[in-house]
Amino acid sequence: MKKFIDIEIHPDGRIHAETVNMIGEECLIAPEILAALVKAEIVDSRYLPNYYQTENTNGLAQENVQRQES
Amino acid sequence: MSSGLELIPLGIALVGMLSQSARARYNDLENNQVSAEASATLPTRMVDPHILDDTLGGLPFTVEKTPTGLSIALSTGVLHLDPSTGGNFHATFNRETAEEALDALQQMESRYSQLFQRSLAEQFLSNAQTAGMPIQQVDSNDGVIRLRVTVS
Repeated sequence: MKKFIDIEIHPDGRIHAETVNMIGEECLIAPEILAALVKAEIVDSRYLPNYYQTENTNGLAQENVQRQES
Repeated sequence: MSSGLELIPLGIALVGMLSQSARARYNDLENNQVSAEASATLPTRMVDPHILDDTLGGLPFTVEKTPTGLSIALSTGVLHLDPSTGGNFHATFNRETAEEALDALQQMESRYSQLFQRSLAEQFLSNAQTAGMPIQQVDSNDGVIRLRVTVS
């Protein structure tokens, strides 16, 4: 699956970004990419469910319960 | 870090806060002069002459850069914006024309917001193109500009 970063630019200048089809620590590339594209500072960030997923041997994402609990 | 982010561009426009606060104070005063005061983060990009020209063109303003910020001369008074005071500004209008001046300020807010949003989108598109990063604008009709960056 293709991986994306979806960006929303609101009329008040607020920018919201989310990763799509990324799981686990590959989500962490988003701030680096955004920093390269616009001069802005991050004022809020949160983990979405896909951060807590890992890819199993079949290439499918599965929830990493152990990590989520910690 | 995360997969969901909120960012505030450097120099975000908060002119709306200025004009709304100004209107609130305007109604409180009874003397012949109307004093409007507000405190907000000054949109630093406003001092960019290009942005100013695009934003204020056609509106009843004359804008001059001053050593400390901006001086916006309306037909009805003068508005000083001074970044050195942390974004505070003070404006004095004649009572008879204050309403007109504040309406003009709100027009400025609206036009500036649209331009600033468009400017941010162009910044994303241009920088992505320079970096060889595929990016496309996604159709939307709710006032939000949506972009999608493909990550290899």
